[in-house]
Amino acid sequence: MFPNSHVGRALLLAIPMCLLLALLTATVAVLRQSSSAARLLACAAGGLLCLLSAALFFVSPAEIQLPDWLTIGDQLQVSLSLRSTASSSVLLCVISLSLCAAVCLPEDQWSACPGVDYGQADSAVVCLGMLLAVAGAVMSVLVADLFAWLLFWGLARGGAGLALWGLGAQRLIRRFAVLGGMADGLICWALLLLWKDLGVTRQTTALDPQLLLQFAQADPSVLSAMTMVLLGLYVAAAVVSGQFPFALRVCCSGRVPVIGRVLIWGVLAPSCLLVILRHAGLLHTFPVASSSVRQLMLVLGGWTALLAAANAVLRLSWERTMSYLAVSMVGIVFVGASLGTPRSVAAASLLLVTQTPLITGCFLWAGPRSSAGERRASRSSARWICVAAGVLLFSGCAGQQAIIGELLGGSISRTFPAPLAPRLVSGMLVLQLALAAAAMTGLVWPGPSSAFRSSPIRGGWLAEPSGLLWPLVFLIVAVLFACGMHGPEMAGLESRRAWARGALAVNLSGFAAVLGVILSGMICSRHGPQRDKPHPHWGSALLSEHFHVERVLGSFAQSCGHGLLHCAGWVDEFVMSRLPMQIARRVADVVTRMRATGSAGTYQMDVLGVLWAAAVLLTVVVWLLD
Amino acid sequence: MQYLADGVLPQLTLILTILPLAGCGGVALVARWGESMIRRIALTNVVFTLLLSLVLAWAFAHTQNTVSGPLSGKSRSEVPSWSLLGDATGSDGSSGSAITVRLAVGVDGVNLWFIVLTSVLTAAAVTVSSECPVEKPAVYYGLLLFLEATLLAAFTARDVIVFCFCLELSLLPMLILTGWWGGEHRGAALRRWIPCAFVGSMLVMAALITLAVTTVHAGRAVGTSGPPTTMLIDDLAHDTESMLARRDLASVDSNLIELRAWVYFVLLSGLALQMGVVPFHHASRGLFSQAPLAVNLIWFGAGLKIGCCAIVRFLLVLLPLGSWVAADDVVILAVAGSLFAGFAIWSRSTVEDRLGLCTAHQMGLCLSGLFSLNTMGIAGGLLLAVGHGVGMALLAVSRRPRLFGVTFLVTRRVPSWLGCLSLAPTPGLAALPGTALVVAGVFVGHARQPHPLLALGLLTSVVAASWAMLSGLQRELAAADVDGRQPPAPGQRRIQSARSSLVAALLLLASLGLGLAPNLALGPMRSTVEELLERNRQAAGQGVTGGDVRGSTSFARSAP
Repeated sequence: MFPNSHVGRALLLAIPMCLLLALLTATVAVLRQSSSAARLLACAAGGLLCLLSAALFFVSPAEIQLPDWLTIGDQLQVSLSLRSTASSSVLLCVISLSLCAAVCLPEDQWSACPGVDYGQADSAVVCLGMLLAVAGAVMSVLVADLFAWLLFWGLARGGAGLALWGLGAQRLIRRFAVLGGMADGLICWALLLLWKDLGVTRQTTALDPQLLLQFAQADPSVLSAMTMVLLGLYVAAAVVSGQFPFALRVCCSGRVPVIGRVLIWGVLAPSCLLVILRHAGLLHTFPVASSSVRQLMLVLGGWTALLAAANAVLRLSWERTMSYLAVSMVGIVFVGASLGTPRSVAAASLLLVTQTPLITGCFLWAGPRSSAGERRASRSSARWICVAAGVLLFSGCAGQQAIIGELLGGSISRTFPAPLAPRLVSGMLVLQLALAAAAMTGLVWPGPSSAFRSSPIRGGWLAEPSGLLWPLVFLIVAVLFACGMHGPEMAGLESRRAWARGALAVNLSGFAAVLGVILSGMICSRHGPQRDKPHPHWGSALLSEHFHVERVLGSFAQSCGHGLLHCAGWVDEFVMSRLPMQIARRVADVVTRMRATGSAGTYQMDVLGVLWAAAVLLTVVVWLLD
Repeated sequence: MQYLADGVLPQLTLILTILPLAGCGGVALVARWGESMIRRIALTNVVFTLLLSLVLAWAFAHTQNTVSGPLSGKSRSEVPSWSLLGDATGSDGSSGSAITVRLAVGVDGVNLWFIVLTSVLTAAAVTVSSECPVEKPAVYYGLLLFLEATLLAAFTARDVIVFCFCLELSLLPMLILTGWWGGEHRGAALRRWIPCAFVGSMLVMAALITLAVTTVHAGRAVGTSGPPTTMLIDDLAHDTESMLARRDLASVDSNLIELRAWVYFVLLSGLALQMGVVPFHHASRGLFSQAPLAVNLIWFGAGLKIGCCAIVRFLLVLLPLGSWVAADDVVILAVAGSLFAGFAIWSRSTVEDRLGLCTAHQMGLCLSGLFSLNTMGIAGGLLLAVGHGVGMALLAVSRRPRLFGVTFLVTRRVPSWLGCLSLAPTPGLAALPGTALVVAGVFVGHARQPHPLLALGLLTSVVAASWAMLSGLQRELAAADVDGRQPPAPGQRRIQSARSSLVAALLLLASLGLGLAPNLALGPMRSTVEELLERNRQAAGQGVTGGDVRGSTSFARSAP
């Protein structure tokens, strides 16, 4: 099923060995109460893990069969087989970088939280907890079996709780722990239901998504059970990331220490979201799988995004605003996952991978911005992030397309010489927006032939019912907000309300960009000219099991390049002359067509339309208030 | 391998059972030579027993395809045994006594890990006890070895009378050890525990003897068993199956079915009393804090598991029909008891009381797994019982005052809810796979009747119990650290801590091994459990189709 190489299997085996060794030595360090040794170990483990995952990226996909953890004849089998894809490798790299950056932070800033005194942190325990959390998150991303995922997910949450406990935040995490335990029980119950159903009807014992996919291809009724598992995963991610309707105020109350924020939104939430996206990627191969569960997820994710955006505006402090922005990101990812189309899932993956380091960097910067020494420490840790990300992305894109390399390199290199925080944030945001914009436009024109056939310069594409105007409108909105964010709001922080406006701009720009990608995917898949001509684009290739890095990167870069070219042509030829009338006409045309279809997509369009309108309304209100 | 299975393994089991008794004799012989010599003899004996049990486990794991379980059919001459009561054959070759009691022991997948657990915990108990001087050391160590011998005999007994005798006998050293070397309030604890323990063992004895005698007589009446008749479980199982297969069973003895139903109820009650499940958990309240550490290790670690072993080896085999009929009810009761215990732990203030309720919770989990009547549930229940034994022993060793330094570092740094997230009902990883299997087994149920709500109830109880246990431990250890402790003399401390630390490290290793590689323990267990279940299903199925034994629709629905 997965093309294996010896290097890939060796790397896959090396990752848990590295984690196990790090955990053992960190435990010894904790017993000997040596905080410096524990920090050094955690940093070394994070660095090694980053290197291993970066190397794994270039040999993905890979799979290795390990002995089962639990086997009862032909009734139950909990497999520990490890499986990696390109997206999981990138996310592992991001997670390990988060660990490195968090460990490099000065100890007295670990529990930095305005208005709350957590006392002296037990740094050895915090390091052990962070290592446990990262180990659990990494293994939960790598394991193929869902039961094994539940085990490692519990380990990751337990590790994060241990780190918070070492910081002295016992009262804060108590409610979180109760909800987490209940969520674990619920997920376990859902998995048992799925396992029972599959075991009785199809004589399978392992909850491997690939096996489930095979069964689902033979019998679509399995899809309902798979969506139930998806709902369980949603609950898990929602609890840990404080999503609506689960304990939104727990994780965003402003009382979570810096390390806790990094662990929650830099380690736990991305790992769980990637598993959800993987499931959504499996589900999107079934067009009939738009069940009520997925619609429920859509509503919850969209509502979470909006609610978090509103909270980000209302909570006039850096920590709370960023927390709510992170929650909003998770909600947007859920929207993409619940839609289940290849493009929406791919866009959600892209957003996840690009937003995670951005948010982590913001949280890390939030703590030590007071003194020069702390600023230096933060800068050093942030530079590690940027250098590693730059090396990884440049290496991945080398030889494919110069344009995407230049784009990414330029975005990242802007962060080095300037003062740290605003440049870091803005650089990462530019990276995110550039990626989203390029990918969005590239997704619309996936190939050179079709792109030039429908070139706006030739004026052919507008005559076709492709609905290309919608994503472009969203792109404009996103770019406008991003430009607004580059103002003094991000750098000065003199005005709280101005900062809130900037934060809202960050949120809405990402939201609008991803929404545009999702809409473009929906519209193009339903009405576009390439609807009946499926072709391998980078999004589906990223989620495909027959995956090659070169092919994905090549198609990704190709899509981005063509998207940029067409954007330039479109701006030159179209925007300046006929924009208002064409926008109104196209909006009416697309809405009429979507209404006329009367299918399940109409409902989703309605929801998205309402979300978008609400986001615009919020923006206008904040703008007027300012 | 066949030679190993037929020749070495039975003899090895017999030697293993007798070896602690030899240790008792050795301790008695060197009683005048001083305490150190007594300790050495006892320690040597338990170490040899431990090694022998490990060899036994290794041999069984390598011969599990050739060795058979308790229902092997290898009765009478094939099983090495001696007649204790009556004679199998008369002097003239005719039949001897009506009922023969034989000292027959055997190892199978069910009792294998309980044997290893008993020997490991006894070795740990003797090692830990040798750190500090005790009064009357010969009696103390002799009773410890005697307790090990009775437990090993109870676990390995293939004769129901021998099992009952050993079960009754195991209470005596427990009683004497706690009464002589117990804590300040041992009297109250023993007054609460003694009646329940003896009533439980008497109920088990009465039920098993009644069952055996009626089975033998019924077998003779229907002509399926010829004289002489032994009380070996193989023979009784054969007679039971033959009896259930008779279509005119009710005409043979009209009261037989009703009697067997009562026997089932009494036996289950006795075993539940012995295990200390809810609502019989008050019997052992306070005993954990008042009994000596060594007794805690052996009794709470291994002694309570006799009930689990007996349910699988005796109750499911000798009363297959009743076990199928009442399985769902027992599971519901066990889950309800587990839920009650899981939440009632919060009401207890001291760790000892919490441990008592946690044990009741664990035993309830085991009971629900055993009566789910599928391979996962039974194997999970047995694995959970073994894991609980290791966890309890680890906890008992770690809670020693002089080890607070180590324990504080290890345990205080674990937040109270870490265990509840990892679904570990007791501190340690050993209970995790067993719990998972029990939940899965209860969820699946038997006769293709899943019980998702029961599984959810079990999960809830596990979360509640583990959280309560770990929070209580954390609170106690933190308070102990704040109040200060008096470390022993430096030279003394190093030696004493080294031994206890070694025991704790070995127990921790066992706990990690059970948690990380449960397949090593499940492998030898699985074939025996599957064989037992198959025989149980066949016998229960014969009971349904044979005669007018059951007419109720509930049984017809749940019958295999």
